[in-house]
Amino acid sequence: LEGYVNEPSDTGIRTVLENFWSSWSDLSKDPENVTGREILQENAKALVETFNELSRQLSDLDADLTENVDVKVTEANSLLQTISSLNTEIRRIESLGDDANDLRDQRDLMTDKLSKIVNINVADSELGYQITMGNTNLVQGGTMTSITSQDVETAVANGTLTGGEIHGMIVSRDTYVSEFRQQLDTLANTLANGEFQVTVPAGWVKPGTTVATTAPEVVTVQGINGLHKLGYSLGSPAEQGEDFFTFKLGATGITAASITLNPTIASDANKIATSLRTSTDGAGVTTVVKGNNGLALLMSELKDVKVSFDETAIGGGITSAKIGDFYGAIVGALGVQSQEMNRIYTNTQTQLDQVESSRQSVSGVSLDEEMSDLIKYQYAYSASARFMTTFDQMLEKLINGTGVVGR
Amino acid sequence: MSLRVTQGMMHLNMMRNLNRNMGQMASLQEQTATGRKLNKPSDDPVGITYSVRYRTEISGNEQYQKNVDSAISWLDFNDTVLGQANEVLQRVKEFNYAIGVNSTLDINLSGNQVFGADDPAGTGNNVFSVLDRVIAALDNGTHSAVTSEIPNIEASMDRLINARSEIGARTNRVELVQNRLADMEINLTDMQSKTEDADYEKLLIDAQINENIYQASLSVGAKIVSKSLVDFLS
Repeated sequence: LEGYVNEPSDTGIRTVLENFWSSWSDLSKDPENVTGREILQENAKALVETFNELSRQLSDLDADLTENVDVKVTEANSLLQTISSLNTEIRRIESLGDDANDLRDQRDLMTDKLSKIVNINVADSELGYQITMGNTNLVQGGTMTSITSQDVETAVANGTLTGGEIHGMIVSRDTYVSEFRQQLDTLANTLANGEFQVTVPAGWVKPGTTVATTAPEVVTVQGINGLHKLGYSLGSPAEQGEDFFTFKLGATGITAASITLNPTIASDANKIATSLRTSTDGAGVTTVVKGNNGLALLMSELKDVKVSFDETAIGGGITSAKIGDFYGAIVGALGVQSQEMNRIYTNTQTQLDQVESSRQSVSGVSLDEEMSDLIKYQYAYSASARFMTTFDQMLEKLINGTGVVGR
Repeated sequence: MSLRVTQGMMHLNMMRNLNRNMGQMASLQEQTATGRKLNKPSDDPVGITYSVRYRTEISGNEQYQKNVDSAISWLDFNDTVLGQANEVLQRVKEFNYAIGVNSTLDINLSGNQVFGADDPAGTGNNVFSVLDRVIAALDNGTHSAVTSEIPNIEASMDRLINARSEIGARTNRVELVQNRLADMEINLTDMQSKTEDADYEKLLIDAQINENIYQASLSVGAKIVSKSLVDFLS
């Protein structure tokens, strides 16, 4: 996730947002200049494309995680199969009186691998290993129950599956990735439709009227779309500005994946509204005062305005923050989560090493121990061999040496 | 720790420590290569929010500086034009330039301000009306009419001079803002650097220490792991 977000850098969302605000500011210096308009158009396209791209990468990540869960489930099933058949095999061999140590080692190895994938409890019974996950019997003697992806998803949901790789993948997908996507969607939607207040300077001709205001007026607007509609584009007769951002075909609202520049604006830079004034001549024809840059100025100042971010739909509250600050908060939260995970990982790794060491201490082979044992037994062998020689000589003396008087 | 220490345990230990040292070296190397100690959000979660804000403000500042430079050149141009008093700006262009957060500056003067109120009848104080009357009087040869226009001409000249001094005052204000923006840029860059950048001396010393530790762990590990009782039994 940190890699996709790519902050701090000069290529992330922060930079395209800044370029967007800067191009409004440049346009405000010369509102009729076609170059300025085209540049704004391109920067707006870059902005929506960055949102779209990031959203696409996140949904790819989501699909990846789901696919990985499937792969792990298949692996778990094959391990379960192996363990259950080993159970049968070991029982058969040992009931014949032979040693099945190799097979037991193999079974332990399989169980270790399985415990990495899902959290299991192992009990050794006379039928072999009995493996349970929560309340479900996975292996009992020679019979196994296979698990499906659906099973693991329900198990995570009701708290049976609490550890292992599968649990980790499902939690990443459903908590971290999805939360980040929702915040990104909120950012995109608020940029287009979030509520905030602007002070429109005197001299504004409200769309639908012909008389200019005489005092500055505080207006509540809904996002850049709303602000854009307060002014007029370069068309003649005067045309009110349209929605600046819309959503793509097939979507139902503006999200990071569906946000796009209004196609009319994307094809005609003159539809960008920059002016707040019109003049009506005697015949009642209203033309826009092209040189007025009031709306372009308001747009460029939007980066410092507190906008209302509504997260009630995803369980949050309503925050009032500048757009840049909200983005910074998302990135900061991601940083905290990532840092926390690293810390937990390091701690858990240490614990794992401890457990492994203890196990090795009991079951591991120490070369020095074995070598000294080897020496010991070798000497014991020589000593008993020497002992046998003594006996041999004694017996020889006894058998061949006694009773030879007169031979 | 435990009563039996086996080869397996020592091997595990060695691998774990080697891995940890390598990880340290990798992260120090990343910091040295980028020159920043804040390379991803998890390096410093609070710092990253500051960093995003400083970068945004620095780029806003750059934009304001661009606007200020362009405002100054327009004001100079206005000054030159008024100084020659040759052209008439016909279109009512209103330019408000953004020179700071929520602060804008008008950089033009309307024709009415410079030349006097609109006067279609030709009888008012508009400089053109005055000049028209002087021309007519000279054509007619009525010197008294010319003399009576002199106060009007002086009033027009005063108006022009006022306009120029207004432009001068605005230029002063804009230059002040320019200096302030330049100072702010230095401050913001300083703060951003404190949050993001790595202290090179410390980094290099740390990297060297780490490298020594790594080499030591490698050589000692090799010695311990490879020898056992077998080598000494002949």
